Amino acid sequence: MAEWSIWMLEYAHCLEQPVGCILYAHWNEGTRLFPYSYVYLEGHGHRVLVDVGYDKETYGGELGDRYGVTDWQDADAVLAKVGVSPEEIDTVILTHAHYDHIGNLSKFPNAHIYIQRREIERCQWALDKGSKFASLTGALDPADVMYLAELAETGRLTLVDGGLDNVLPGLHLRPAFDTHSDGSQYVIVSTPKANWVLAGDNLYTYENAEGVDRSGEYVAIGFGGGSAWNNLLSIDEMVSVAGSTERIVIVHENETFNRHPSWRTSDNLAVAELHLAENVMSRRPIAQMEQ
Amino acid sequence: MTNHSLEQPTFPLAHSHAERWMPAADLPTELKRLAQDVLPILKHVKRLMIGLASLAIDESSRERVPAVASDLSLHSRRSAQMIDEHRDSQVEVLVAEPIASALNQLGVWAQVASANGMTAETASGLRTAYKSLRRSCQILWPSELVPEGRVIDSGVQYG
Repeated sequence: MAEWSIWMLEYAHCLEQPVGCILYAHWNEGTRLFPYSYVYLEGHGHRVLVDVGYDKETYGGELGDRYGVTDWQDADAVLAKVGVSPEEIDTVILTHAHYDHIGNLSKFPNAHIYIQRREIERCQWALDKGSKFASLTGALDPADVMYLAELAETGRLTLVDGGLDNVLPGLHLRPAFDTHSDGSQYVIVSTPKANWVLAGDNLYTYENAEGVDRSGEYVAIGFGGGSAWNNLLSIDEMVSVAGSTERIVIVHENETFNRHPSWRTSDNLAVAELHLAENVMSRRPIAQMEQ
Repeated sequence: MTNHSLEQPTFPLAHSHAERWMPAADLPTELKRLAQDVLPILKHVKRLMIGLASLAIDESSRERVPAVASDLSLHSRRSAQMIDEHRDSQVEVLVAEPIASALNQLGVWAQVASANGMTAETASGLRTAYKSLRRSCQILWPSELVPEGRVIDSGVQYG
């Protein structure tokens, strides 16, 4: 298939995420449901995952517990909802190195991995700074970085320096440095009619791009290790590339499941079918279609 | 944010604490002493580990792997010896032994990396040893992190 299809797959969620973590300076505004998701792409003969979630059996599980994450499901169960297995994934693009995006890499034995070189270098730098700078490293698991070394040795890791066009046909990587993390990147998916943007954690909610009550005024994410200014500039860039905020994919945004064709499965997790290539069948279960 | 139970308590004392948040004052004196020694080591080992991984990941810096691996090996083994000295009570045998064992394991793999450079097998060995070390140190975290009598998230500084 010479066009990409796109699904956002929720693998866990935090039921009560403080709004102050989502929207910068919006303190004491209560909590929201905060999905943890990754994005599955299929097309051009490839099966691609953008970010991989975490493994509950490792330190990622402890971090998830600490941050109030519940209803976690492993990648095999989540990917089965769109008819694919972890072993079939041939490419993984990591938007950044936080545990909930990188921690389940070992479940994808046949994938080639892409991450920004700067993200790895700055992880090391931050950890060298010691515990006074723990707020920069609280979502990192050193074992995950060690696993990247293992992948590098087997030729399965590519470190990216800034922008990279056509990492696969129609998939482009763009740096979003010094935003949510120091070496973050986002992904552009070109389809015949429009571009989609997979934002990583450079947006947490549509309101970051649309403004509160659709005011049109960008709002930086609440939890960013980098510059709020750069975050706003990267949001502006993503809006421009996508042409519409509807085509910005935000993995922690529950509203995604309201704005796009979606279904929720018995594990209380949702799937959003964001874009189907021509002649590609929906993966929505028949029982869900009848409802 | 919700408190959560320990998944698998690894030390008998943990059984009396259903929550991961644990008053430092509840740790026995022997464990507090051990924690004071162990936690700075864990921090240092973690930094060396991630430094080593970063060097190994990037082709342009791989020539520096043997030197950092050698440093990691040295620190791990010395630390294991130091922790061995704490094996003088039932409490400390139960805690110190797995920590020393994990540090020794880490030291061995680091030595292999120092001698042969990083291979996929060595990286895997280092990762497994590090995870084992972190798990074995879990019960000691609170006492180093909090003043007497206060309660704190036990893992907060060791992400």
